[in-house]
Amino acid sequence: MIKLLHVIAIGALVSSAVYAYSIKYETTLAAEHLQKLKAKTQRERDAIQVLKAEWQFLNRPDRVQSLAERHLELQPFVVTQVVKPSDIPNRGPKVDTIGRKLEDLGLGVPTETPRDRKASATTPGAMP
Amino acid sequence: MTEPTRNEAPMEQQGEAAEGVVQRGRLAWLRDVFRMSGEKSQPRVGLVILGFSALFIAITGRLVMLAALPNEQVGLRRATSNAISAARPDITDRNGEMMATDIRTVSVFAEPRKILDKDEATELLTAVLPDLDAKDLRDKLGTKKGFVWVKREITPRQQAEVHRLGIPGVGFVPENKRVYPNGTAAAHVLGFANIDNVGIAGIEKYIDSQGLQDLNGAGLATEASDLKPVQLSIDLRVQHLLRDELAKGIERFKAIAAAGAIMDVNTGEVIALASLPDFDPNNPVDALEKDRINRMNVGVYEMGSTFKALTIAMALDSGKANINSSYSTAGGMMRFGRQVIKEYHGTGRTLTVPEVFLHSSNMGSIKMALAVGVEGHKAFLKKMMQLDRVTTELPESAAPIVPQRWGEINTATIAFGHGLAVAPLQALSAVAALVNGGYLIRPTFLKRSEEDARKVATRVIKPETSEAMRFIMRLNGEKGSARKADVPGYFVGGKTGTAEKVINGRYAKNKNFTTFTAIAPSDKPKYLFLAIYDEPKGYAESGGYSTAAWNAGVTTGKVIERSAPILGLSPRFDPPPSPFPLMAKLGAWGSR
Repeated sequence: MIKLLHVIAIGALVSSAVYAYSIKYETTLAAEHLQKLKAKTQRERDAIQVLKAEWQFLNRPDRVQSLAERHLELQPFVVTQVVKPSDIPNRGPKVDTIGRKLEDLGLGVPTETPRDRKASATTPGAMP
Repeated sequence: MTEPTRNEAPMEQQGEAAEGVVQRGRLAWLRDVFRMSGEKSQPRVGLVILGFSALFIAITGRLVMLAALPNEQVGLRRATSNAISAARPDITDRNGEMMATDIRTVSVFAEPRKILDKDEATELLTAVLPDLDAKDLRDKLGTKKGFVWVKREITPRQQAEVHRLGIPGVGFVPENKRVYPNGTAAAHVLGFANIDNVGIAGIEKYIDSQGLQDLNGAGLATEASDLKPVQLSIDLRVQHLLRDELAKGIERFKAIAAAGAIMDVNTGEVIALASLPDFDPNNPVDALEKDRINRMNVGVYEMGSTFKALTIAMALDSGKANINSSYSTAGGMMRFGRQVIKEYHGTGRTLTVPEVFLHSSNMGSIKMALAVGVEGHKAFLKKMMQLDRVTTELPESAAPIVPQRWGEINTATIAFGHGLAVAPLQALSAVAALVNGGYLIRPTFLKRSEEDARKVATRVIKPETSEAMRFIMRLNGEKGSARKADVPGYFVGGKTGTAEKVINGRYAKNKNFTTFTAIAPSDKPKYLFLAIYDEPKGYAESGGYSTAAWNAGVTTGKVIERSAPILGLSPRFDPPPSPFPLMAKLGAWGSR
């Protein structure tokens, strides 16, 4: 009986030691991983900062102006180009352009499709 | 010797007893030390006490040594943390465009005490970093210091090469480098930071004075992402076009310097500020040269006729004059003791207040100022912040040059803008107060709302006086000397100012300092524009004139034309139905 207890106790001791060791090992591994990720995010953040600065450097107004002067045929803004919303004319009445064209071609009259009386009678319509 | 003594003299044992006790005593002590019995072990205890005392003294001594002498590793960390560049917050313009930021770079340092072969190290390092001075580096490595910089801010490639050399005692430290991606744009506002990322001038210095340096000293905030970006009132696009137009103007009018500013009259925000020649904050080697100063803030100038606006506002506000008062300019000159003041654009007739402004009549403004009196004039200018240094966020500022003894003659000359030199930004804030309804607001370079500005604003003139000032400025824009800047659709008003420069204590006839102040739109001003030229020359189209309308006026017109759409001023083609109701009611000259 005592012997069995001893065996169990030793077994528990060994397994707890193994468990504690594995936990410790995992923690170290996780900490290392965390450190690596932190370093990586920092690198990315630094890179973003550099790219931001570079973007602004390439978009600085005097560079954009000199490029625009060289490559674009833009004119300076003139006040007369501005139109007030109230000055914009209203949209004209809606015109059926296809219909008008058909009329011009003399096709405006209803087509004389032969009608089948039965078909018209059987067409389901809205109930009154 | 002891052997024969024992053999030959057993009787003498008694006589020798004294000597024997000594001998036996020593032996006995030694024997006592190793004796097992308890009561005789005192000597042993004594020895143990001695031994332990010696041990503890040795440990204490070592502790004192460790505390007193600097530890090498700790010393290195301290040296680097003191030396490396601290992080600074980003600076953005009012729309969030980046104006200054930190980027991460790497610097090489060395620990001379750990370098074994200094000559070899010098040779290898200079081979990889060719722009290093070999002799200088050898001297640095020869010192007994724990930490020296080899080179600051190297490229990643150079870092890899230095790393490959594998010299013991040479290491890398990541550092923050300040960059200004927009180059010269707003250089005078931004200022710059030195290689240790300490603000030296401009807003950069202001940021430091707000407690950033203390933060770094405590070892906090070495990461830019911890710091909130500083948002300026500057609009980068407008800033660029202002500088662009001034630079073109310098070339066209062959001026030695130029400056300009755009201010929001309701908030006191400076939207753009340029002073030429300027510098590149990324490479501020020439920033401290005398002609690179910020002329808007650090230079003081006699503002010329622009000051007449202040004189007229003072006369109207004091009640000594109204918009219909008239002043005789007969004779075309006034005499003060030995001094004679002449009319520049002499008409010889009697002028009403708006006409005094339009014709820029010296005599009219003198008479108005004298009607208020010397003390009243002084008090008014004091109230308008023209007699004291105006401080903004920018650490650089200049105090105005005020006459020592202020007599009638001084009031007379200051009435038309001579004899009192102020910083242009100072004059600008006063003009803003004249047109915005009468609130004097301290100019700022940080973004702020109208409500916040109202809290710090003080009322200096009546709203009616402000309307009169807007009216006469608009009149001048329509019919007077400010026509050059009257961009159609924006209802511009303005005032020219031409002052002769003082050279060797005398006013030089052919050297002018010209200013142009404009407001838009005049019925409800939003922006105030200012352009300044130092010694502009006449050119073909101007018929040789170098007065303000022909240079500063032209530039201001272009600046308004280009910036108004960006600033969100919408053009109007029919003039506002009743822009100046009070002036129309009073039947002021020019209102019909």
